[in-house]
Amino acid sequence: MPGQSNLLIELQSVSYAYPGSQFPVLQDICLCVGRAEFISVIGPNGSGKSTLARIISGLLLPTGGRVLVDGMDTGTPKTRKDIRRRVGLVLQNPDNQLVAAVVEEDVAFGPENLCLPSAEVRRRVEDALNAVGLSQVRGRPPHMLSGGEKQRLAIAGLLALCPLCVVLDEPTSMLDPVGRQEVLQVLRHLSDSGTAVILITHHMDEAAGADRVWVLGKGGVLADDEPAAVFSRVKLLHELGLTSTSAGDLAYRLSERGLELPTGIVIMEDMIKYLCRVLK
Amino acid sequence: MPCIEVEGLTHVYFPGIPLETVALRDIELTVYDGEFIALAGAAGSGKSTLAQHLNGLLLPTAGCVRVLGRDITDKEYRQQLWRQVGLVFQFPERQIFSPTVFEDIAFGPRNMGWDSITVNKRVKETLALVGLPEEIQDEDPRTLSGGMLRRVAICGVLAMRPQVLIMDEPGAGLEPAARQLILTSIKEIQSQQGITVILITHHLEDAAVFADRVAVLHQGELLSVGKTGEVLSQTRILHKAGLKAPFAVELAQRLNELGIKLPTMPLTVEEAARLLYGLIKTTGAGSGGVQ
Repeated sequence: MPGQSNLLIELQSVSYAYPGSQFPVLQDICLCVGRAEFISVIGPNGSGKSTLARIISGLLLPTGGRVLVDGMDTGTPKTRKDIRRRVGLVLQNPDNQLVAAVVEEDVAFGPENLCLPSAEVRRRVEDALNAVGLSQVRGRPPHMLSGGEKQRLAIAGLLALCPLCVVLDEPTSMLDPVGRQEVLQVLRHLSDSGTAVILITHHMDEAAGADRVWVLGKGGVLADDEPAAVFSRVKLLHELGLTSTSAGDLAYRLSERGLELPTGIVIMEDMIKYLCRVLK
Repeated sequence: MPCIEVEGLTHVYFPGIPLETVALRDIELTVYDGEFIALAGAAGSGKSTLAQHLNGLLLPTAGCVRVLGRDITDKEYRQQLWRQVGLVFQFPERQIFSPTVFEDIAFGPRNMGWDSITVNKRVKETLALVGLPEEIQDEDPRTLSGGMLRRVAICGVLAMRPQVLIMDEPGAGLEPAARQLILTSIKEIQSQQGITVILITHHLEDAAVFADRVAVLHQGELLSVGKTGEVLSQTRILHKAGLKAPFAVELAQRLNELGIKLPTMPLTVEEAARLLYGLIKTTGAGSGGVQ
């Protein structure tokens, strides 16, 4: 039954090979996402992160195994519509998914297509714009917004569909630090208020803000753990062409020099605490 | 020797209609021969507008830009200017259109009028410069990974042997190792061949490692320009510009507020590690297990 268990998304031995390709991009992946969980996904280019995002949101169907969203199989044609309402996808370039000439109309596009009564559409647009902090610019044309605002608008467009999970494929790679911060705050807020978030990113400091991190590589999932545990595995990350967070990298470089640091220092605050303890 | 001189440059988009926007205001900047300079700023700060003046894609509304001593508005110079200044746009791999890597890289050099022997040679040399194997030239670009594809796209510009290379966020959307590799090879080319590199970025960690100098733009104005170390420690100015100081600088300043002083300001994580290690060793607490 949908809506019963604490488990929102389940990937059961999922494999995927693109049509005409011999080699699967993803092989035998088992993962799960809890309700309101904030997960970040890291991995080298070509490790299947974007493919995974499309599989989770039901845009691609696995060539092996199955994906359950809220108890429904993405492979069942009958439930496809329901799944797309529950899982939304945000792409790298917000310009690719903004459709209307006015901010609030863009947010209304989704709920209007669901043929909801106009009062309900209005309420959802209101809530979605509030959630991403764009109420002030509701009457503006989207092309007049900054990159961070546009990306938040794309997220608002999904929120108006009341999804249970938002999947974001490198939503910050085209943004400046301020825009990036804005988007991350919105994501944290979403997860705190009950929507699951799956964030694909190349920025480790960004990934470390999640509840859990998936590391993709070599066609599979190489780690699925808390940020502190994942970003302490510096050797694994280096092997994949990834790095730790800045703080994790510093901890690694200090330990390479022969210092014994407590494990799990991957954010600035923990590094400062440690340094205060040894230097004061 | 000044390589690029920007004097009182102002650029206005759509002058005279309601969409009128001042993108650059009275910019004064000199870029020296053979240096690696980072042009940093938030989205909309005017970085790309400025860059497009440096190879004559845009012309000043007011003020003047001289490249290698010649004014970019000089029509006779324009052809030569485009050859001398290579511009790598953001996500340059989107402009790859040839069936093989060789064809794509050879496109520019052929248009320069070089004979096929020279073109062949240039393609091979350029691939080596960015650390790609020669065999790759027969591959279909669509089969390459994102990082390799980006390097092929950059090769297309490098093969024309520009004296000045402008790159707009060359690392965006790439995994950390690929990003590092691209910037490291550009740095090598800069120091070996003496070309001038202008790196447009909002990622100051990259500027900290690779740039000799940094210029910070904010809403079309030049907020600060100077040696990388000086500019990156002015955190207040960086914040005003919507940028984030490198991790090492932020850490050092936070420690400073807590009464822990580092002997110099680290810009990179490696420098921070070296300084902190020294400090921990001399205070004695860090020898052995610190728990």
